[in-house]
Amino acid sequence: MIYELGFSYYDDNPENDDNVIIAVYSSYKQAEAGLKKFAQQPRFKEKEKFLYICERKINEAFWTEGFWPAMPSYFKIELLEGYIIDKYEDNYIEILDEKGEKMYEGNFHDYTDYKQCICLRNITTGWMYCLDKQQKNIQYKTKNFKNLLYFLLEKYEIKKLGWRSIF
Amino acid sequence: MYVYQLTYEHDGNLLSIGYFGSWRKARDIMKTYRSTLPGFKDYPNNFCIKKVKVNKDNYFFLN
Repeated sequence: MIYELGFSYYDDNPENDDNVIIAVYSSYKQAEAGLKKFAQQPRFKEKEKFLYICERKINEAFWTEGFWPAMPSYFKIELLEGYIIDKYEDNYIEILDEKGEKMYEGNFHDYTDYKQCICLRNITTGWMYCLDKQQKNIQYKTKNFKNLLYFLLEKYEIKKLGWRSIF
Repeated sequence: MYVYQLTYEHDGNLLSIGYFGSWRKARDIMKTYRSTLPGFKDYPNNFCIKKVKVNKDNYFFLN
């Protein structure tokens, strides 16, 4: 058995993340002494609680699973005409226009993207919205699916509406 | 006493995979991981095998 002494610091700013394996020791006592010694170093001072000691068996992998790297598609959806949906937590989204400026925000579960507009739906409240890409505002709001379909047909000559899940 | 430390770095995150008694053993584990496990398979070049002396404190990273 060996004992890994490491430092794994993180705060609200990912740029401050700091990870390093400092040393490995043959006993926990020696690792503790190492921790006390390194806690005084400028890099770790005031952040002592992020120093750790981890017991490891030699010839046995500690990390045995894979990992799922964050992909851009987890956070954003690219729409037609250069528009983007930025996804955040709790179904909160922001819609950016072709210049990258925030055009609309709110809590939504589903969307449908057209060249002229974006339709959004909040399943919890039942409200459905039509956001015009040129006007950059909500043109229509309803809880009735047929009414929305009728509006799309009248204004944009869109005949089909199928929801896609945002999250 | 020396051990072979197998680590993996991705997006600033350092994973300590394990410590092995031989370089060959560490390399075998690395090969298995990079050919079978998700994430490692996608970024297979981020592994590092390092020979480290047990009970020796390194100071190179303190600057």
